[in-house]
Amino acid sequence: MIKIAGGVILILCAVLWGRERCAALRKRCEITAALGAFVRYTGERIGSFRDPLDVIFAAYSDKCLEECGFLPVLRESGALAAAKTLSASLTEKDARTFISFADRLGGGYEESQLALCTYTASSLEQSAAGQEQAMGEKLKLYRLLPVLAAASAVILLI
Amino acid sequence: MTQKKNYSEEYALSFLPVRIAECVRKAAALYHGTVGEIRLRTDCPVFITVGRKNIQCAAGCTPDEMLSVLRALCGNSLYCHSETIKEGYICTPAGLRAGVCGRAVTEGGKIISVTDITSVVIRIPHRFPGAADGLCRIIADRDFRGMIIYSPPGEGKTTALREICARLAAKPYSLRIAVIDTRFEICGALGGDLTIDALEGYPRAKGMETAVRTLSPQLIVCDEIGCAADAAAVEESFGAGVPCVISAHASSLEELCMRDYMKELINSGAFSCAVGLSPKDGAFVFDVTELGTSGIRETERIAP
Repeated sequence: MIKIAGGVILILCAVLWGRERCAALRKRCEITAALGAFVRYTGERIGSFRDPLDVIFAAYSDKCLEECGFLPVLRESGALAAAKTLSASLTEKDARTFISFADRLGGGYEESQLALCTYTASSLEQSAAGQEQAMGEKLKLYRLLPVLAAASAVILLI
Repeated sequence: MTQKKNYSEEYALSFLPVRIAECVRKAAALYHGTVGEIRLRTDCPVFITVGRKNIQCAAGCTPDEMLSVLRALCGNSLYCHSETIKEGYICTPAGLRAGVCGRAVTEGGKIISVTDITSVVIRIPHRFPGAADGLCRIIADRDFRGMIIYSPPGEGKTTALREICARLAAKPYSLRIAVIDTRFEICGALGGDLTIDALEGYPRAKGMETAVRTLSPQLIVCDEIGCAADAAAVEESFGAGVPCVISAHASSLEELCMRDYMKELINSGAFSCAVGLSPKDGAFVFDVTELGTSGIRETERIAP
């Protein structure tokens, strides 16, 4: 009886772990896409209205970026501090790209800022699209592999 | 949203790196004076101006620190200030002005951009309530036609104009004053309850034209008239029945008249008087030269 209960718990843990990984994967993809949209919006506001960054940051709203804490830090402490809070939630390359963007944002004239926004937005959007494409396979893997591993372990143990 | 205006030295120091701000505070404390300017140059010592003295501080300014000062002055949005940087200055949203210079990129003789900024001069505006009362009495006179205030740079022309506005736009005068505040220097330090229409950021000639056409002012105040188009706009305003109080760089009336457009403007009869200004112990000394329609009459000194 104890062995069966242990086995059930092991499989349950594997299912939960797999789900958590799937959610993290989806979240990363969502955040990357949301950041791409944010950067594009910033570029548009700079190009169209030359709004200062604090005005742009105050006007921007996005559920995903609000929930992950990016926008509150952005409004409070600026782009670089906010970018650093997200480095764990992005791929290494995206994190590097975004931190470099945040560091240079506001430090140049209009043309250079627009080029910076266009480049960063394209890079993040491409990355988000790539992640989306690869996600189907990865989700299957995260759902099945832990359960199979747990089931094998249970069979071996019982 | 309107940001609260703040003109204290501490506000100006808030744009500097802590290390430099501390050195400026120490140097200012040693000289017991009001800091008028803070001068930063890349890889050079920081200077402050107290009265007419230029005092060297113990700190220098590294290129990184210069960049951080620039970014702070621009609210971390340099691109918003590209137009004024081309003109040689940055204004903070709270009204502080900093002169800047670096390497100009030109095209067809016009500056299209300024890069590698190596000098920043932060000017701290001050209030001297009542310091221009002598001039206000002249302006309030029924026969007043206009006034030109001249002095070399940094002697207090803008401060005098600010005090004139503050006094004449308040009771008992309550004149309707249109202030052409091209560089955001005059109106920022004034409080509310004044009958002032501030044309902030307007080019001088355009601002005067707009004021005359749409604001029905009793007096136009404009700082630093510096070209024939500005002088023509002053003459237009005078022709439209609105007297102007303007300022210009010059150390004497003769020097002022060396510029053709200024000579023409003075000879047009647009001014009742020309005022030479010099600061003295936190107040001003005015050398008032009466100008008739047929030329200069006599000079009187108004001292505190």
